[in-house]
Amino acid sequence: MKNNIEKLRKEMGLTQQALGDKLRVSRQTIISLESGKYNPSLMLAYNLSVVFNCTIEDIFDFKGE
Amino acid sequence: MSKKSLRFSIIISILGAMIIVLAILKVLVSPIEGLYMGMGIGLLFAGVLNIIKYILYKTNKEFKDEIDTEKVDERVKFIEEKSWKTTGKLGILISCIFEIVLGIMGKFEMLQGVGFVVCLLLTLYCSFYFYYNKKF
Repeated sequence: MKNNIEKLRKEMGLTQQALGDKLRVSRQTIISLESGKYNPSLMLAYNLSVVFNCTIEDIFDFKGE
Repeated sequence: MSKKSLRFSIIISILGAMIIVLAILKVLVSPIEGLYMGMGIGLLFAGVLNIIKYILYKTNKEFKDEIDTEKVDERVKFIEEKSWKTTGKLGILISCIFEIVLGIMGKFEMLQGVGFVVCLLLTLYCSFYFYYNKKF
């Protein structure tokens, strides 16, 4: 699934490791999320929306699916 | 990593070392050569490896963070589950092919054994499917 995680992360000035630490996931998971190889659970999607202070729809492109 | 895990690793290491000593002294004799020696080395190696891991976990903060993250990382769990799923599916498929080959070769005793394992696995799958279907 396409997403804006990389864009939002860079806007916040976070590294992949820093975002991973905030979400309690590895840097590899952030890489997989950004590349769209791995779709997160509802909980991780929610946590991403909390970190980026936006809605889940702002992060993930559900229409493209 | 808990102290319980460390205690378990120490017990495993001691058990492994004891098996090695008993195998060298020929107290433990098996029809398959080197069986107990291999078992002992395996246990000792696994135990020592876990003890080293425990020491690293307690002394190295980076390693501790890595292990703690890995424990809760949902992608790691997803990969684990996917790997087991693929292993199960392929295992049954390979066993079925093996069954056909054994049948052609006329090895009916082995065929029965493999057939039993396949039936057991499929029964387990059906039972868990029924259980989880009720649960979720």
